[in-house]
Amino acid sequence: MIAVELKGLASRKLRTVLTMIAIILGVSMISGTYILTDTINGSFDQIFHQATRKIDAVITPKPAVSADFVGTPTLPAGLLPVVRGVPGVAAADGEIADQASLFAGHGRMINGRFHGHLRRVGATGGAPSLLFGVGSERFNELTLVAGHWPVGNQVALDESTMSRSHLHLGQMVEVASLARPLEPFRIVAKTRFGSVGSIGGAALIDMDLATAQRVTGKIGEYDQISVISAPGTSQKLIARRIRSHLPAADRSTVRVRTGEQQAKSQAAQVANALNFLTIGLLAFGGIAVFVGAFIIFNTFSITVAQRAREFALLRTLGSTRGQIMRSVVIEALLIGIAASVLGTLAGLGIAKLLNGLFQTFGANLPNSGLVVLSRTVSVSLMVGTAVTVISGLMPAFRATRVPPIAAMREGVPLPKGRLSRLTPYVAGLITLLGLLLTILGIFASISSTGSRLAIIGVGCVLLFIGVAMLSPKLVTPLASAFGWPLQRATAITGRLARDNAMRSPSRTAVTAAALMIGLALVAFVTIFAAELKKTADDAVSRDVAGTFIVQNNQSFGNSVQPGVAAVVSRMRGVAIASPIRRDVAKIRGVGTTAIDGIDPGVFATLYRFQWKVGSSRVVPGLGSNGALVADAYAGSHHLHDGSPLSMLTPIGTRDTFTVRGIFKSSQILDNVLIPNASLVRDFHEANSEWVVVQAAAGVNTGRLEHRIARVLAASYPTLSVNSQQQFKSQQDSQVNSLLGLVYVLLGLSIVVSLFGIINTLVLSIYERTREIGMLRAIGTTRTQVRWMVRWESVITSLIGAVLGILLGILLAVLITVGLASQGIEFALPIGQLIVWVVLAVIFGIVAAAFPARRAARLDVLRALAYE
Amino acid sequence: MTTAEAISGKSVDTEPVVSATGISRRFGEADTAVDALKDVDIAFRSGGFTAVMGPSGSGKSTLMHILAGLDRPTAGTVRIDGQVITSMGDRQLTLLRRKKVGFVFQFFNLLPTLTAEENIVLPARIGGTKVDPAFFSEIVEAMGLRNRLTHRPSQLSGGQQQRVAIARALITRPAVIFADEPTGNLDSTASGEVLTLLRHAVDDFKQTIIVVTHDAVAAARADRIVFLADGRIVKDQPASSVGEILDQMKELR
Repeated sequence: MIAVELKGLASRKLRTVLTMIAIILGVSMISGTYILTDTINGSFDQIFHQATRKIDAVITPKPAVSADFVGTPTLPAGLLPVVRGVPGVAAADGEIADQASLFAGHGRMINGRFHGHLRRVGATGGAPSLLFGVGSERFNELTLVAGHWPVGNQVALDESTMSRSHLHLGQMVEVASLARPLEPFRIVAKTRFGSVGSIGGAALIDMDLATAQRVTGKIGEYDQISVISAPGTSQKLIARRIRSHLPAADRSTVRVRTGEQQAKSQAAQVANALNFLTIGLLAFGGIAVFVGAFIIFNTFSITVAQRAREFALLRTLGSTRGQIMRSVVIEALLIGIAASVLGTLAGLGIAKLLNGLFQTFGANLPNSGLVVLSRTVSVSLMVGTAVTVISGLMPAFRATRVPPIAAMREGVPLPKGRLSRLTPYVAGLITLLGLLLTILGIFASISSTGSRLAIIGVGCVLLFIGVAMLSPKLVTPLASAFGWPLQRATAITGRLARDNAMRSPSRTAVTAAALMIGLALVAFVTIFAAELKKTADDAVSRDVAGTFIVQNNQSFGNSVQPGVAAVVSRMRGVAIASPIRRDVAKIRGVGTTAIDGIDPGVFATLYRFQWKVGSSRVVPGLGSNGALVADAYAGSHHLHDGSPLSMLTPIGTRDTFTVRGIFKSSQILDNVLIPNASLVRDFHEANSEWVVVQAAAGVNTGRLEHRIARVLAASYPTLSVNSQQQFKSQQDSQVNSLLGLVYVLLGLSIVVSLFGIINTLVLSIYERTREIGMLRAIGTTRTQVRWMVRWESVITSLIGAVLGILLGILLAVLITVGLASQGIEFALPIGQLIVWVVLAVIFGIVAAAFPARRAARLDVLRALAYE
Repeated sequence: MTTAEAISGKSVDTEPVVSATGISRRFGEADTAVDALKDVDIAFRSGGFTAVMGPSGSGKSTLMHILAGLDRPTAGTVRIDGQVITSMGDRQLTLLRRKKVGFVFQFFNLLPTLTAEENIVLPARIGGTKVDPAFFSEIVEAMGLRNRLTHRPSQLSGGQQQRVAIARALITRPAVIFADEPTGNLDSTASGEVLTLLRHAVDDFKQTIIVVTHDAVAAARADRIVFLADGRIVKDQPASSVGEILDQMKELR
């Protein structure tokens, strides 16, 4: 039986290959995602194990509250003697591990300052440069390749950074930490990190411990204390002893782990962070597989219809319905297995492509040697095969409905199933159910974001299936409408294309539906991104009164150094320079939330907030424990004027603030605002998110901007000064680069639907061979035949594009309404949506290239003789 | 003959409208090569109704394909309306077929998505030219399709479909119409009608028609009958009766 099916597949090579591609692409995305994230995890695992190889115990700070967007606190240096005094501790020392930026350039030193042109060196892509200071060589995982260990204003750099950035021993470089302005250092050594060589694209800057503490603003502090135990004392034992010897006050803010636990926990943290990426990428793979399912379904439906006579013949020869069904299902199974195997293999390439993609979008992920787990293989194979077989079931069932008599007559249409008259109702029901689930996912109060997204996801899948099932009814009017201008513009090709597109509405509908899914998502993200940009831009125009904003544009998460506001405010022509500090706190009875620090005295000058309770006049009187909260936040947590906010800060301090005013939610600042001074006092937060600058009255702002920029370039080259307009475009470009990434990932689904159109056209042309022969005989040129096929493809693409964009708008409206409380504003970027429609037309022409060529190349005589 | 000139737009002289000199056609290569036509010379005058007959494999279909510019001879020259077509490229040949050649097929080959009227004017639409309404009307009347114009092929009988096909062949006033077994897929009543209409096209519209057939009844309506056997013309004679034709066919077999 399988031999027969294999022969069948071999005789229909082209269609088999085109069908397989639809599945291969989706499966390769799934397999590639797993391979990439497993590889990254594996690399980090290796790095962390390397880093703790010599170490028996590690003491790190334990933040009382933590969040992705804030740094971790430090350990007091006073802890080190305590640890050293623990019996069984052979050696212990403090370490600094922080981020920094590295610059090199041509120029000269004037009064100890570097003047000239600087270029950023070191890390590749978006990877950070890591700054280390280790107390003693015993703990250093870096080994010297050349030179000597640095002392004072000297650094050691890893050899891959040095060769990549063309740096040499003895050369001067500039280091900008997150705490201090630019400082010159001489390269005195070349290092290597353990046996790994390098950590992703990160540059490794090594300094002596005291210099590292000074440069990172951590004098009298450590990021970590590492311990080596005396011989015969196990890692577990020494960790337990250290824990029991800690002063009571430090127990809640300090964490003691064995070397191995530390490596595992760090690896787990990375894995956890990557989990988000994995799920995100798998979703795109899933979408591509879903689109592929439509193509499998369509191909099998068309093939079954074309093979109706063959099935009828088999039936007259005594095949049972079961046998017919089985033969089609086995064909699907074979295609599914073959495509899944190829897809899994192609995942290796996709993993590399994805890695390259992230690099171009500014995220560098370390990886060395692709990791393929058995889970990757089994999930990819199962998903691909199952989806193919399930998509083939319906057409297989229809094959069993072919009556034996069809063998005797020509053109007996496949009989409709008994339940087919119910199809529109079922389709309507599925559409409705999908819509309801989507709405439920958006509006219902579900605490977990994961389950919320899952419900929306299932809702959208049902919505797409439902609309696809309903769309055969829409194909005739839509094809008629889109074909009309073509018909008017061309002699005959447009008319024939339009008729052909309408000839088998369900075939055209399913083909278009595959594209519809991709375009619905594209339209949705287009609209949503436009809304995000509009919301953020409007917020800047509405809420910010200051002239300039100084911010760190180097990469995400980097903040503005503590001294910047003071430096800028002393400049001539500057009236005010005020930072916004940001940290996190756990508020009793409310939850963990981001806290922004403001300067109460100048707040009303720099920001134009709208007030629900109180007014801008209450701000200067906040005192040291007054707080302002956003209205939406106050509403959902039942806060009002005078409500106490008992905050636990990351360093373990508890302090109570009192609500003094309620402002209208702003996209600019977080939900809870307290004075900057309090943020420094209770949170030890020194860095700021940005600094708002107000020019003095009558100052030429263009010239002032230039002066500020020059000062920043000399001391804080990671920062830039932006006008409100530039600040908006900075925000927009962040959204745009994320949007670009999403477009590329959705592109995969669109490519899958491209193969769907190619496949449908090829199969349709095969059916219409004799018509094409006749048309050619009576004087239709090859060019005309090609256009006939192209226009049909364009009409199909337009149906998919228009339905998709309409669905995308629907989803965007729903989400926008759901997020209205977060201040999201509705936007409809008509221009961009029109661009998608135009691209759909081009897409149609591209999809038709191969089928059109085949149709035009048909031999007239053979086509006429074809039956 | 003046009406003929007016309608067909051609000058009537001794020059044949379709002619072939020394055409051969070989299929396949080396050992498996088959010579379907062997050095055939033939010419057709304007306004004649010729039947090409012969047993299966005699080369009659190949001859028609080559004369109509659908296939190329291995050797020899074909002229249609004075133009040498055997040296033309695909595009030139296609445009020539569009203007100078009409076709009627055994399986009608109408487009199922178009109405009878649209099928009739299809060749003009392909060429992007306007159809003279008076001429269209005349053809529709002659083919008896007045009440069938809005029907689609699936709503028409075989005979009606073939009448639409003949109208489609006439609409561009081609130099020659080739009909490949035009009655092969019809019952005898419908066949009779179709043959009458083809005859009518020759007599009243002064069309040149070349029919390939093995139906003696069809051949008996022609002015001239050409017999082919084994790739050669074995007999070329004026009109004949059904009985005579059947006898001749028997001889050839």
